[in-house]
Amino acid sequence: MIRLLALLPLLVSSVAFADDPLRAVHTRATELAARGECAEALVAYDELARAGVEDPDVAYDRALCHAQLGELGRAIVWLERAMRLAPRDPEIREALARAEAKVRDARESEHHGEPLAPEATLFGTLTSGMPASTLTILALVFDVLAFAALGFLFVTRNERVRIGLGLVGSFSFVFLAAMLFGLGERLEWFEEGRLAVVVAPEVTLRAGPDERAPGRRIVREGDRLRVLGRRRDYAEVRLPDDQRGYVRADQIEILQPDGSD
Amino acid sequence: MPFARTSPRTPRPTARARARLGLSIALIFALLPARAALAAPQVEVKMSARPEIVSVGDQVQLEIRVDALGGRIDRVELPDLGAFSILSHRRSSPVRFQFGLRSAAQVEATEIHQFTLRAELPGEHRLAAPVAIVEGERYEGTPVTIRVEGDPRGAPDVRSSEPLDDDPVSTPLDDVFAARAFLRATVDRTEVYVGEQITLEIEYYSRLRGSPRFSKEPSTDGFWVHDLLDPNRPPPERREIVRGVPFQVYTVKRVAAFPLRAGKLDIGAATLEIVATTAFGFAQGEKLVRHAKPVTITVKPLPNGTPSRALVGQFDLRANIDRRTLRVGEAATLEVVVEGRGHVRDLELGLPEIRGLRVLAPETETSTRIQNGRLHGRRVTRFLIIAEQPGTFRIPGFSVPTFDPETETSQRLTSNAVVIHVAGDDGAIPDEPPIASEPDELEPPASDSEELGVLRGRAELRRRSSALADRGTFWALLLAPPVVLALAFGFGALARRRRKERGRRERERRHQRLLDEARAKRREGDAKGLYAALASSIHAALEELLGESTRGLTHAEIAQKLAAVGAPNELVTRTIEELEGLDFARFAAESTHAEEMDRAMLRITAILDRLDALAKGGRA
Repeated sequence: MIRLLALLPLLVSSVAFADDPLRAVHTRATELAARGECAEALVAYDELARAGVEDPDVAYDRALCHAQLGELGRAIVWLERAMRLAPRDPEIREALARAEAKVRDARESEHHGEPLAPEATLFGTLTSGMPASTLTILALVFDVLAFAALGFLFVTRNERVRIGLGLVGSFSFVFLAAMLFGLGERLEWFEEGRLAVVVAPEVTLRAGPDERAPGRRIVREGDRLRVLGRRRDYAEVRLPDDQRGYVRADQIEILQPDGSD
Repeated sequence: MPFARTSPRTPRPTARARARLGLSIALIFALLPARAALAAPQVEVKMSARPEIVSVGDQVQLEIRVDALGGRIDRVELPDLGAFSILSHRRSSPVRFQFGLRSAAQVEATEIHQFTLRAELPGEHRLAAPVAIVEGERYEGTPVTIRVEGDPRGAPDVRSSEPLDDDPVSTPLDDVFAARAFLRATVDRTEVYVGEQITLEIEYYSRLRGSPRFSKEPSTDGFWVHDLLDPNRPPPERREIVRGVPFQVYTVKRVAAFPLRAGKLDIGAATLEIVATTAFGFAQGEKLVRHAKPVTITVKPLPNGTPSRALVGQFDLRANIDRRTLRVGEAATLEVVVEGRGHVRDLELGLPEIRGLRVLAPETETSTRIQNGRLHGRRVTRFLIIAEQPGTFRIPGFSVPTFDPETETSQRLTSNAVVIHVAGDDGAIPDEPPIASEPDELEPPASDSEELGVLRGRAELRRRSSALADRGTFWALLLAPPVVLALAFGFGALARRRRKERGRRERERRHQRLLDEARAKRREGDAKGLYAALASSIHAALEELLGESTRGLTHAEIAQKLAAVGAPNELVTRTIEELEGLDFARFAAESTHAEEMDRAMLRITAILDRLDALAKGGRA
């Protein structure tokens, strides 16, 4: 109730935009989520997603709804998506850390191992605070600076100017490389397949894309893996420890749908 | 034989012997009825049912056994099984012979009737005692009572000979019917509340011999599912006539599914592969694939005012503590049990901090059982409470919100508060009011979402845009600066080269012009003009080679520069000598001689050719 009252001004202000159908859907989703009717709120959030809404706040609220329903794997997926859209948002970062901690605790209580996750890379860590769009623009800026400095270096004869241009050019090239590597990490240019999260409590990794194929191991909710391809209802995946196999495609969710940031 | 003893000497029996013989014969005749009585068959008639308490739709194994020792079983009168469907009936009548040491062989006849029944009607069904007729005599067994509990779906499962096409929860027959085998998915309802059980049944209608196996299980994303069929028992089966064709119907899957969220949820299509076999179980090499249609379930959210964490179903809540009085340092266990019809999910209960008591992390135990096709859950939470200081403590009751979808009512289950008395080391309990914890009622702790963060509600509703870096324009923009730079360098180099070429051509033209001028002077016999033109030609060639004017340079400087550009010493020497010679000839009288002018022309033309070759990068 307190939450509902706290959200009342937001809801009232949202009504002002009721002429926008998407705004109305979002208002409905928020009302339902605030009342704890998360299952129905998810239906409204689905509607927003189908309409092409990709907003960090919506993704965050949706993650909370999944968590409310005990779907921590899906909550992690949406928090990851929210963080990719707004990497500097401390609340999203904190919520993701808490969700992952809950998954770890649950596994620990059932005597399962740590969740599987790929190792963080240097450039990925360095650029984790920047959204992909910022990285893209910075990469273009440093690109122009680096080559402009190189060009002027050839035509200018003034020694001081040449030293300055040399420094600017060198640093620009270093930053350009860093931005491109960061961007590559973010957009998964250097890795085979797409990063996904297991959203079902227990999923059998099988040797083939068939229910009868022998099982190789069990992966659990919150585990991360890479989707290499799809065969019928199964996804071919590679685990962070390089083991490959097939899992049912509806039991995992790709973090970054095609073509989105 | 004691009674047939004779003597050869006395072939005729004595009177005493005759009397003995007569007595023996009389005794034999007297014992004949008794022997006849001993030869009467021993008959035992037994009937047993397993299990004796079932639900509608469940199977019962009924066995009627007649054992007759020393007699022939004429027939067995079976009881009326009207309340059951007979799924299978097997009759066997093995016959055994018993051989005694001194007696004749005896026949042991047995007749066994084994029925697999399917309970159709709820109630107490008394099966009359079976009767066996052995050697004309009637022998009766004992009756058996089978209790059939109500249909889990609320109505008797009366199977008509035609499938119910109107049944809204079954896949329409036209969609799945096939003459030899087909699959049909059925749910007991298509509209439920979140957390309410639906029962999904997949039935395999078959006219084939073969071994079916799921190649694709029905997907149940969005549901928590529990299997209702015992994997250790054969699947329930019955016989049904569909469109005039008799089918054997096997229930290959029966699950209780609990929707986890509202909306339209799909139970995906299942696929069954059947390998046809012969009557002897050998594969025929034919494989059939049959699909069950997906089923869509409309899941309603819990009504307004019902917390989303409410348990859905009918539940009881109770709390008990094993000791109410203890000493400091001793422990008591508080057990909170939530049980009832429905899915107890991951109900988490917690105790607040109570000053003077230490509560250890609770242990939980969840169990489920199936009753009348419905899942019943039980969740026990045990708190170990350690007394740390004397006093009287009140542990508030627990409160759990529930929603009953049958009555569509929400309620809050509460358990009684528990009071604990803790005595000190001296055994005395302080006479103080109970120390109560806050709040007065304990609710399940905050859900995962509340632990993760607070709902925002605001959003700019930004639309999806493909990442700039994933578009072709990014790479075009990224490559633009190096391409522009490379083009600039390329054009610059090209321009320089064209400039150089133009200069060279100009010099060549000038060079040629001077030579032509020299030839003209030669024809005119103007020696001074000829030598001056030849000197100018050499300087023009040198300028082209050295890239600078050589008019103001001394001969020594010219020689040095020529050497610097790689001209051979001999060419350098000759060039300098010719320049000196031309300077001298312009003022000498003999140099006007025609032959000398021709020789000078030839020499200088040769030097010019070599200087040109050197200027073009060749060998002089």
